[in-house]
Amino acid sequence: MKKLLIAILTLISISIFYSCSNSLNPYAPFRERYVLSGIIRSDTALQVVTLSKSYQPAGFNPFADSENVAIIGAEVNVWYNDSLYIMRDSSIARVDSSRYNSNVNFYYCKNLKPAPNSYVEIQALLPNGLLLTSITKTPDAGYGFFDQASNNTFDPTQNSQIYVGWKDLGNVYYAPRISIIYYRKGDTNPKNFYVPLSYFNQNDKLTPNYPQLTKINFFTIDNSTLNEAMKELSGTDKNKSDFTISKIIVDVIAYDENLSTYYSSLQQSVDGFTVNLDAADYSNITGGFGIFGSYYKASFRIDLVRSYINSFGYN
Amino acid sequence: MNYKSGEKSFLFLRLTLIFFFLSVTALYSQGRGTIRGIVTDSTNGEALAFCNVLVNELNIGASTDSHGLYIITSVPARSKYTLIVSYVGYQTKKIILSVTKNKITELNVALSPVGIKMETVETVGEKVIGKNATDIGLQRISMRDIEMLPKGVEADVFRSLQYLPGVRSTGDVSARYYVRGSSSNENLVLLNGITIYNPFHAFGMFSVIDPDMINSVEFYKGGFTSEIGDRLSSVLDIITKDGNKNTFAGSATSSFLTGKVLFEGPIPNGSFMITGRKSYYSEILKKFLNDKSAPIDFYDMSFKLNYSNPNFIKGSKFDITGFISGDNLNNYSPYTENMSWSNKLLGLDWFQLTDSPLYFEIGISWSNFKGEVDPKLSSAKPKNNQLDDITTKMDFNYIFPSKDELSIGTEIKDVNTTLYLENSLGAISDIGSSGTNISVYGKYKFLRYENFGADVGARIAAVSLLSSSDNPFMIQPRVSMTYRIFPAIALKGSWGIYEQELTTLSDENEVISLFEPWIIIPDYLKPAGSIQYSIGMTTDFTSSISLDVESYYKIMKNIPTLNDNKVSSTDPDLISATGESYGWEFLFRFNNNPFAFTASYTLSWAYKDVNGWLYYPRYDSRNSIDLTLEYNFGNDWYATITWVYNTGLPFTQSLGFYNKLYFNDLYSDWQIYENYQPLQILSDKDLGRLPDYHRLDLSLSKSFNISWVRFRLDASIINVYNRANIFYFKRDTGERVNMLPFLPTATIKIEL
Repeated sequence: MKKLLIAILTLISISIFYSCSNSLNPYAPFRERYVLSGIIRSDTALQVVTLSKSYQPAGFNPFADSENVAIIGAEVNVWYNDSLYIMRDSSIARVDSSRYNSNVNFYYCKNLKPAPNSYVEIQALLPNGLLLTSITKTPDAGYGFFDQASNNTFDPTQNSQIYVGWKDLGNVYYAPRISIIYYRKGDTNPKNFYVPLSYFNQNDKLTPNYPQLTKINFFTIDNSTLNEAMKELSGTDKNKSDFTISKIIVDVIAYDENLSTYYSSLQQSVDGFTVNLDAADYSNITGGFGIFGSYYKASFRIDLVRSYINSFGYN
Repeated sequence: MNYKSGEKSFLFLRLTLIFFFLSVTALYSQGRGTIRGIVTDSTNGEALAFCNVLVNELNIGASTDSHGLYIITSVPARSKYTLIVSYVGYQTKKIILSVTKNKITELNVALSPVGIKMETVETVGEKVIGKNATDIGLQRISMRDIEMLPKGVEADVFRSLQYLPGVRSTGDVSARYYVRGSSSNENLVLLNGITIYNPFHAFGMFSVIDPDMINSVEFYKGGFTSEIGDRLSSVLDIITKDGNKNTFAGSATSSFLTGKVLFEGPIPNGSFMITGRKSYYSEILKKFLNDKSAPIDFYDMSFKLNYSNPNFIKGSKFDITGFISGDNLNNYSPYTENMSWSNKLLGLDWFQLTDSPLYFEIGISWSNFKGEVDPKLSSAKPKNNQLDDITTKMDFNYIFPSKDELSIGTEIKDVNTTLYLENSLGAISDIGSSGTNISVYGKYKFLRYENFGADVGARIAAVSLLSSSDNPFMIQPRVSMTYRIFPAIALKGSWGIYEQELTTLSDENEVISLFEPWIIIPDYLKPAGSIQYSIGMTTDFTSSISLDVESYYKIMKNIPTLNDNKVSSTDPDLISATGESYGWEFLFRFNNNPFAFTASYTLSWAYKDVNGWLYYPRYDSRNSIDLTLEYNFGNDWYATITWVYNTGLPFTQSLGFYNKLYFNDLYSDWQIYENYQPLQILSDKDLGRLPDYHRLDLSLSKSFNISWVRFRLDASIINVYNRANIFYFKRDTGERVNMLPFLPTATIKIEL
């Protein structure tokens, strides 16, 4: 019996010894891929895209690879309303040089400000002859975007909350932002105070809950939240009369469908613990990776009744 | 299969029944009788499943089922027989009895344990019984098997399955298992006959089944016969203890993770058992989660109440089963999501012996699963799933004087599911459906020849869960056969068609996931199906050495698979895939107290085809070896060494990285210039192989008494030589994440 026991233990030991090779090559043969990244904005005529190529670091750590991967010398053309916009290449100094020492290379045009609900198409002919193409339809966030039921005047004696709604553009993201516009005595430039949707009481401390990217096409703010925001606006300054409240401005950035899907794909995990190894990587670039999307920013004004402003000591 | 052919099937079934009942009547009046009874443990009255019961003079016998029931028919009437009842670990009992013509002789037997614990229940007595048992693909697992294995924090029935040939896992972290090349949602887990839909705690690290409450475990790796439906791959059938019928007793166990208690005792004409387990310290789970802390809080509770009063209904036994499990990950921060999932089970079972060799079982049960991710203000995606399953089952079994058995039954399953989730591309799935499946089954077991057994049957779904199914009469024929070619060698084989109408909306790319949401297969897909073939050989060289060899081939069709390219809410959630798997399994056992050795080897292949793209699923491992060595040092000291080896699992290789634009808030400074992070570009799916996996575990246990209290101490070391088995590479940073490192654990159990 002892001999058998020894034989089995020896077998296990030999098996362990022979199975200890641990070589692993996580890479398949490298094939260079190309990336176009660009988001067409509605709030400026300056449009920027970048072009880059893929890389395979020597080890497992991609941050160890510091060679500039930008593609220079491509022909980048944009079509909008049957007009051609040629993008020029340029570069600027990098703010964060922890990985790359070179400038940031990009392509730009300064005269393109597309209207809502219109198509913008891009073609990038790379120096090696490959073509990257894509198209975006700007969100339909122009005239009539905001819901008519939205409060354009807020009077706490009449309203228990602020409601602002806007057009449902489908399964897309919206980024709302609520600002109280005010002036401080002596300043001619207006200032913004961002209003949260609510406050959380954590350990007797109020934590603001600012709007996140959402697919819900409205928000509400309770009077208590607005009251707290109005109080916080002046901070510790006791001279409340130095503050002049102008209005509330609600901005809503609406993403187009491509940008919305792309944003979702940035969250590689659906929660903090799930590990998804091969999660789909969304791209709408034909011939490569990246994103060509657009967003539209719309604004809505809400006036506050004077008695409400004065109740906090503000003008 | 159309409606008319369904009608024909019913007609055939009816005629078959009439024929066999007539033949029974004829045979039954030929001067023979029947011996029947229940075998129990004398100390607590628990039913002993899989015992040998032998009529010595005739060398015929039977083995007990999960109720402890044995029935020996066609015994010539005689005034004196010796009945030998044996079970490993118990004193063999010889009883003199007489058999009267056309009568059933009732003989319940209580066996006394002798304290020998090294032998496994599979080596049953004299090996006379079960020569022709049609049990290919079946593994019986004893509580002792589960307790003797080194514990990754807790003893776990699911983890013990992973030592069986043909059963794989995708990592140390998960107790989720994959059988013969099928995905985990094709496994059925039954607790006292009730389906548990999400039988996992803590991201799948442990099963919800507390081993202390188990009486018997049967595990079918495939080839299961027609009484079981709605799964393609495997069946884990767990029967819990009835509770001590003689005296009140209890036990308390503590590990690094949980505390648990069990309380049992007699009630008038019955007994009860209550168990409870609660996690109290989750720090050790960081080892499973790549050093990430998780506020894991879980519990499970169960009870079983049984009542058997001959003055109420003679030969009856009623069981009420209840089970609740829950996991909560609650975060105080409003910016971190909350997660929870739970199972609730309730069932009533009526088991009835009659005055003829007919017994039946009628059960009604409710199973509920609920899972939720509440993202609060985090970027987590919302997820909400609920399933309610109300099932009514009736099974009738008749044993003919020829020893043949006829079983017929019906199962009515009413299922209601709701699911809301948002996938990683932001597409929303809002699915709610309900349906009823009415299935009938019939099977005939030819057991009249000592060296040949066959189980021939079919399961017919008269009404489908899928409302749009164009095939309401799905016939699933199944055959299992055994032929004992020599006294020590039996050849076995099975063939069957299997269907499944429920599935999970789970992502096979997730190596750690919260829970798998269950849904009825959507109307735009057909029910999943498979055809399975298996052949095998069982060899008992001596009473202490056995070798089992099985080979299988499985074709799977209409496998619902997550649509990775769902970018819009109108895109389908699932697409149809096909699969194929085959392999060889070897299981060698040597058992000679104080020494026991088990070796298993699996050579297998698994393929999946999605949209014309053929790949190896993540659980495909070519070669697997499991070695277990147990030694009884005496004085209740036991040691176990296990060594597991698997060739590397598939993974998707990297084609390199590209710099991907990230943004959160487009109000802030324009981010297109510099806000990029590396992301791997993936090669063709699962074409690479991870390095081979292997791990050595040790455990040492000691039992002793202090006064009237019995203690059991277990100490285990997982991954003794600290092998760095790779789990995965992080896609964004390229960081290598390994599985469990060197991990010592211990448990203490106190029995009163």
